[in-house]
Amino acid sequence: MLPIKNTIERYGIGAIALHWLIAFLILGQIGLGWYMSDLVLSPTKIKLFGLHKEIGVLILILATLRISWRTINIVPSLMSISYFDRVTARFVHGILYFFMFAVPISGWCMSSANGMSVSFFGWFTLPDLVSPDKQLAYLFNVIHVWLAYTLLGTIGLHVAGALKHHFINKDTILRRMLF
Amino acid sequence: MLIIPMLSFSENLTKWNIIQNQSTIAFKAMQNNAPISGQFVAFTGNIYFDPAKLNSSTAEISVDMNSVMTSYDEIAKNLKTDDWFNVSVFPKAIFKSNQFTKVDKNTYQVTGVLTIKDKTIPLTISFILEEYTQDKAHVKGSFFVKRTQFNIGQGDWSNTDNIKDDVQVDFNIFAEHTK
Repeated sequence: MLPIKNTIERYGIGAIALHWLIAFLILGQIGLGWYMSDLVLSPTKIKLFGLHKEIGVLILILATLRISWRTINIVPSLMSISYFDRVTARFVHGILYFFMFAVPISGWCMSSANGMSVSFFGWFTLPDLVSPDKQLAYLFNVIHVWLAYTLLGTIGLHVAGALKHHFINKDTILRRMLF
Repeated sequence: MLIIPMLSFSENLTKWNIIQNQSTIAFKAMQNNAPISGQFVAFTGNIYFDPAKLNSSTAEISVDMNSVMTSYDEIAKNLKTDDWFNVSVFPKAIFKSNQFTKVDKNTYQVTGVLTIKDKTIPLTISFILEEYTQDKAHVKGSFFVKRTQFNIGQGDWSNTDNIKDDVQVDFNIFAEHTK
């Protein structure tokens, strides 16, 4: 039975669940964002934009939980892999954490600048981070999309690294993050 | 015996002119459970009002629907189209008062009809007389309209799941006495 918390050798249920849930949501969001942006204005487009924003807030909440969880847990050791791999891994993971917050926050700013406030499934409405402003709206739009595509590239790197460790190095790196 | 013709009561009442650049007529709708606001920047009024002569007071407010503005341009642009305000066919929305009554200290109520597009619906508006001097009057109030009653957002847009039926209208009107 897997422990809930991490050990020095592998990740626990808590970390694994958060990892895959957030990964699934992020990939879904990138796909949804890409699809919905090209739609002609319609009730469906409004609905999808709403869904995209709700999931964005959800990711932000989960990312906060995740980073908190990481700070109160042992980080499984990477001493078994090469120095280069170790540094690259930590760097890429750090960048991913950055994107996990930056992408939804930039989206939040974009909504605020457009005067389209974000509601979390009807429970509460997020405060507007900036006042409605056409220039800001365009700026945050560009930032949000650019960050999202860069995130996608970084995820590609992350997946490539995991697969390299599993199939080429034949070590336990990937297995540590599986149930 | 002198028979005094009972012509136009309003002739004896103070005529008020709306000070356009100090006044606002704004609306707030709900999209995806979050508020979206806009306003009409051009409107006029034929107002004969005197709190001491409520029975003879009348008001007719005409709003230029083409003057709608929202922080997100796309929204205003779409509001002018056929399924929404249809400004090319219905350039004005008009409120015609029927009867003014005093509720308490500074609070009044006016019953009347609101015409938007080709629909005329009875409406009762409560307002507060913030200031009333010989030269200046200031009223403030708000009311709700059900957009579907006026076919605002028709066809696919009549679905009130994501864009709610109730729209709040807030007005803040400064008027001066015409000499």
